[in-house]
Amino acid sequence: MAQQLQNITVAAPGFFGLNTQDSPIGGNPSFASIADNCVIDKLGRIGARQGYEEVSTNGSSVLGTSRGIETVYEFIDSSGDKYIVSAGNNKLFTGTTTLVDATPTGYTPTANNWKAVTLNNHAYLFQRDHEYVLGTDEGGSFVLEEHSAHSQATGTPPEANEVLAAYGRLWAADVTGNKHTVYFSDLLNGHHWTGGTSGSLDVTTVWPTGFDEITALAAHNGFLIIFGKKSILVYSGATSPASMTLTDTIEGVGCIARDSVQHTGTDIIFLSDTGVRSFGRTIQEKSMPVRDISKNVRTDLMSLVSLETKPIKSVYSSDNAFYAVTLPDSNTVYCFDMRTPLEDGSQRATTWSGLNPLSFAVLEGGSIYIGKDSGIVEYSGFLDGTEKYEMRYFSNPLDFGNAANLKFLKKFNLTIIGGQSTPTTLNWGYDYTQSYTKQAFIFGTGTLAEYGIAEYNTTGEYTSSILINTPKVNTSGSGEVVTIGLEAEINDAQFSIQKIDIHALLGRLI
Amino acid sequence: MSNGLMGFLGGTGQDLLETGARYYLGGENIDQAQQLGRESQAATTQLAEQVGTTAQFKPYTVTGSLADVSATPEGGLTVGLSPEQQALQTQLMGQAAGLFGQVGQDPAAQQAAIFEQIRATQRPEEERQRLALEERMLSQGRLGLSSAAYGGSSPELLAQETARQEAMSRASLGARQQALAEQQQSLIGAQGLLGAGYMPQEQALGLFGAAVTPASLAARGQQTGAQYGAELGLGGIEARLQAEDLANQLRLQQQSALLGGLFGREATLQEQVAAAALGQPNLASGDTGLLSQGLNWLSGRLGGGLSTNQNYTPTNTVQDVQDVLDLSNYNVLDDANYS
Repeated sequence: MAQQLQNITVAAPGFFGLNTQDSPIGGNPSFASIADNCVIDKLGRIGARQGYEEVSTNGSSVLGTSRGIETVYEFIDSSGDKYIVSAGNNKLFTGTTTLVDATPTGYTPTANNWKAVTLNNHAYLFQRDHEYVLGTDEGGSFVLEEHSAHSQATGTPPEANEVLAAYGRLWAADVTGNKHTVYFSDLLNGHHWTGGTSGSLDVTTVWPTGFDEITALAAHNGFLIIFGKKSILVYSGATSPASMTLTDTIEGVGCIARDSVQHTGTDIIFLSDTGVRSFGRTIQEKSMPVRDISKNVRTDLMSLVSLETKPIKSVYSSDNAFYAVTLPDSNTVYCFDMRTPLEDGSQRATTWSGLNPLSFAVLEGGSIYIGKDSGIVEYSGFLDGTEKYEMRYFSNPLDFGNAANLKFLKKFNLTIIGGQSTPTTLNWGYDYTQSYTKQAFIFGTGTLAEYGIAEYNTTGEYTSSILINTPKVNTSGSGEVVTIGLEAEINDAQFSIQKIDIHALLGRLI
Repeated sequence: MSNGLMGFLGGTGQDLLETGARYYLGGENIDQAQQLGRESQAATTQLAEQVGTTAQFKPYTVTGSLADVSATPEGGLTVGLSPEQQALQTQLMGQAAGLFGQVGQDPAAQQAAIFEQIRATQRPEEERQRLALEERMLSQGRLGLSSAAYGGSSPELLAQETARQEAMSRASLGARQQALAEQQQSLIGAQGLLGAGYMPQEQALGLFGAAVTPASLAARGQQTGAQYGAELGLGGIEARLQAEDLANQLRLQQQSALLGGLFGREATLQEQVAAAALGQPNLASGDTGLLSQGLNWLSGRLGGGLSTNQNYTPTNTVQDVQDVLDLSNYNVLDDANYS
C-alpha cells in the first residue's frame, strides 16, 4: 500500500554553521558537519566565501622563497594619507601594487611577525627581539626607521612582541625573558620610553593562578586588558597609568595567540586554549566562561591550533560581520559569523580552505587585505585569484524526527541563490556513510545583467542582479539517517543555499 | 860705762820698753777685739740657727671623718680622703670623664645614634603602613607599577617614601638638635660631676682651712717665742759685747795703769789743773813708776842717779816684761763671765 510522500524542508541549511561537537542524531538540521569555504551571508544563508584579487604585482620578486607577506597594516596619518606597510622575506615594504622595500638602512629583521599600531601620527611596528620600527611622514614622505634612528626618540624601548596603542600611549609586553611586565610609553609619544609618564607594570604578583605569561594586550571600555595564556587581568584607569588599578581577574581563560585578539567595537574576540572566546561575555560571567564562540567546533579547532607552529592571525570585518582566524600550518581558516550569537552563546562557524592567508588587515574603507605567499591580495570577488574554489556544505545526519523509521529520499528541490556557470555536485548518503551518491549539475547558466556597463539597452541582458536557481534532483536509496551535501565550484559568482526541500518517504520501523 | 848704761836704761831703754809694752798690749787688745767679733758672729749665727729652728714650721695634720689633711714640711699639703670619699670622688670623676667624653664626641656620631633611636621608634609603624600599602597595592594589582612621573615608582610608594624620607629628615634634624642639646647637657653634667668630684677634696681642704686658726695660734706662739728668743739672744750678745767692751776698756785702763805703774806717767790735764788748784805740784808731775824707780834706784846704786822726774825706761825687752807680768794666759773673755 502506497504511503504518502512526506515533505521535509531544510530551510537555510547550515544557518547555524558547523557543529562538530554535538551528537548529530536529533540535532538541529540547521547545523552543518562541513561548511568549507562558506560564510553565513547577510541573509543568514550558507554561502560561498569571497575569493581574493591580487593587489601586489611584484610579490614573487620581492618575497623570494619566503612564506610571503606575513604582516599587513594600513597607516593613516593625521592628514588622511594612507600607507600600506607590509612585511615578508625579512623586509618591510610599503605600497600595494608595487611592494617597495622600505626596510630602514642597516636594520635587518630576522622575522616578519610584526604587530603594528598607530599613535599620534606615527606607526609603530613591534615584534619579539627586535627594536621597534617607526613609520612617519612628518618629513614629507613616509619612511620607516628604527627607534634609535629617530631623532626624537628617547629611552630604551622594550623589544616586545605585543604592542597596543590605547589611552594616548603605547603599551608593550611579552619581551623575551620578561613576559610579566607591561611597559608604557610617555603620553602621546610612542617613541619616548623614559621620563614623562612612561613606566611599567609588573604583574608577576597579580596573576590569579600565581604564574602566567603575557601574550596580548587590549583596550576596551576604559579598561586595559592584559591577556595571559591562562588568565586575564583587567585594569581600570589606564588613562592615567600611574593610578590604574586592577578591576578584575579572570582565571582559566587566556589568550594563546597575540594576533587572534580583535576588537569588534562592543566586544573583544580572542583565541584561548579552549577555543575562541568573547571577552565581553567572559567579563560578564567572570570566571565562568561557559559561552565560547567556537563552542560548536571547539575540538576540531583546538586540535588544529595545537599543531600550529606559525603565527596565528585573525581579522574582524564589520562589513562582512565575521571574525576569521587563520591556522597557517593546516591551511585552514575558521570563520565565525558575528551577527547574532546562537542560543548557546556561540557564534556560527564555517571554515575556509585554499585561501591560506598569512596575515590580514582591514582597511579604513572596510576592505580586507590579506598577506599571502604571492603578496598582498584583497578579499574580494568569487575567485581565488583567477582560480575557482570549492564550496562544500554537508549536513549532519538527519533523521527527520523519526529516528526509528527508514527514510526513502525521492527528490531534492534546491533553491540556490547566485551561481554563474557553477558546477555543483549534490551529495546524499545514508547511515553515516562517507560514500555519497552524487548528482552533478551546473547552476546559473544565464547571463547576469551588467548594470552600468555598455551592454545596457543594447543587446539587452535584463535579468535580475542575482540568479536564483531551483534545480530538482531525483534521488534514490534509503536509510535511517540521511546526510546531504552540496559541493560547488565557485566561479566568480555569489553562491548561497537558500533552501533544500527533501521529499522523502518514511518507511517501516526498524 | 855704767853711767852710760844707766843713762840708757833710765832714758831711751825705758822708752823703748814702754813703747814695746804698749804695742804688745795694743796688739793683744786688737786680737781680742777681733776674737770678740768672731765670737759675736758665731754667737749670732748660733742664735739665728736657734731662732730658725725655733721658728721652723712644724707640719701638722687635720684629721676628719672625710679626710686627713697633712701639711708637709715644705709647705705643701697632703690630702688623704677616706676610702668612701675616695670612692665617691673616683666615681664622680669617672662619670664626669664619661660625660666629658660625650661632649668631646663628634656630634655626627651622636646624631647618628639618636637618629637610629628615633628611627627605631618609627620603623614599626612605618613597617605596618608599608605592609598595609603593599597589601592594598597588591589587591589593586599596582605592586609592580613603575612610572617615571613618580621617580620610577607608583604614587603611593612615592608618597610613602617621601613621607619616610621626611620622617627621616625630621629625625635627622631632631637628632642633630638632640645631640647638641645632650652634648650641652653632658657638658653641664660633666661640670657638675667634676665639681662634685672635687667636693670631697674641697671639703677636706675646708677642714684644713678650719684648722688654720688654731695652727696659726700655735705658729704665732712659736714665732713669738722665736722672736723673743732672738731678741733675748741678741740682748745677751749685745750685753756681752758691752761687757767685753767694758772689759777691754778696763783692761786698757788696767794695762795703762800697769804700764804707768811700771814706767810712770805724766799727770793728766785734770790732775795738772787740780794740782795747780790745790797747790800740790807733785800731783801735777805724774807718777814715776815702779820700774823707773827701780831703774833709778839701780842706777843710783850703780853710780849714777836718776832724776826723779826722769821716767824709768826698762832696759829689758818686752818679752822680759811679759815674763815679769806673765800676761800670756790672760783672756779678756774670761773676765766677761759670759756663758
